[in-house]
Amino acid sequence: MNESERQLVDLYLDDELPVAESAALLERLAQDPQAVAYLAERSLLFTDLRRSAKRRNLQQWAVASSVTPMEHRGTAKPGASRWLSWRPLAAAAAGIVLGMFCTSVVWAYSMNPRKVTLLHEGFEHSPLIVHQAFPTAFSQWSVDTGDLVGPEQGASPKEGGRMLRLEPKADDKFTRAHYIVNLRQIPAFSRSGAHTVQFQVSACPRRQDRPLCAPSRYLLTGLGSNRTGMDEDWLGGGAGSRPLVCGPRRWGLERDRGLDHHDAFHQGASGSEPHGVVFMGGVDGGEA
Amino acid sequence: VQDDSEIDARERLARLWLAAEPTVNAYVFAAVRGLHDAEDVVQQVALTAARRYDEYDASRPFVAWALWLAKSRIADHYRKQGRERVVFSAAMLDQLAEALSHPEPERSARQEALERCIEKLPEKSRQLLERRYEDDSTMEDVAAAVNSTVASVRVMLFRIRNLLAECIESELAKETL
Repeated sequence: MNESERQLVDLYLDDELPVAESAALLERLAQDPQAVAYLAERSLLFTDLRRSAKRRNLQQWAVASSVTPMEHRGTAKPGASRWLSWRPLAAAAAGIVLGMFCTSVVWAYSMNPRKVTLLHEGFEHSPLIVHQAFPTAFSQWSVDTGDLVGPEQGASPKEGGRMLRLEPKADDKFTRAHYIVNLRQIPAFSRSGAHTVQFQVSACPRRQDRPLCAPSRYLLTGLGSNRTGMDEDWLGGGAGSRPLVCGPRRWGLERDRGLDHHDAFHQGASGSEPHGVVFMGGVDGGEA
Repeated sequence: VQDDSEIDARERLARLWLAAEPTVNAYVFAAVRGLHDAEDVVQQVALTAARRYDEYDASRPFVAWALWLAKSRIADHYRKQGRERVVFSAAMLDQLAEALSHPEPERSARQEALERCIEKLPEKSRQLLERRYEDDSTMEDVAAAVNSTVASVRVMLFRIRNLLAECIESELAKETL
């Protein structure tokens, strides 16, 4: 390979080469195994540079993150069997960044971070759409079958005045609730660059036949600029879906437990479009 | 409730994927145009690896299996694209996978060597890399930020990457002595 072709490889990997020229370059590379090896080496270097940049960016972000104590709200109250109550979905920026399955590096900073609550989402002021697989807007709950109710039949909300009652579905035993958090409400996410946000989901689903919190599942999945950018396979998957997707535009995680889990999401530096995080929760079993 | 064997399998998969993911990234980013499209394909590979993990033969390198899965996901991506596309032949995808199937310890050493090499760069070069990769800026943005032309920035980045590639090789050679 000559110098000019090597420069073209860089332009190609930088996505700066027009389609026609890219195709012509690849045709030439295909004739020469050493050229393919060079493309592989160069692609590794580009990948490593991006990884290195992300790590440096996160370190800078961690050092610069703001620090104020996180509010603790609500206390558990005893509830009766049949009704499901979700404590609010709280989103908080944190100084600890945890790598997940799909990330390539696990980051951890021992800088004594404190949390600041930036969002505190719950049922108190949010509208509910019933019989919808998905909310039609930010800050809106959707549920397959159910209703927002106050204390009833011996069950009361963990905090606030309203709780979500899920009811069994005829065709699917996994009843789901969705909520989209608007990351643009978080000041750091309204700016360009890389950011990390940590979500805390607290829920105690109760079933008629179980006095304690029932097994439940929730997903937190990053959302791109519009809903059509998401994978459809997990949306319809219910209990069987195990999405493990992540990256600057989408992330996913599944938990089979109900109480107080924290997940950190990293927004890549390339993310200039609006972002949201989808929360999906539900309860396994016939009756909730 | 998950049993221990399922948890063990998930942990093994997570460890294997963490080690293989940079190589899969490099493979997909070489074969798929557009950062976001490439990221989507990598996510699909991760999904496929998770779903089909029970098919993985542990006596063979995981990275080779992951690249084999990636080849199929890349082919899926090509099929979804319109006419304006750049497509690797199956033979070239195989060649690329072969070239990328480094032993995993070497991949880790490369990343560490890169960090050392970046530290050795002149400040101006580091800043240029920072603007290009940390901020993920376009060439036009980088050129405007450093008060230069796009063509100059391209050449400068090409030279910086060459320096880094040479430095990495030199660092790795030192380790094998």
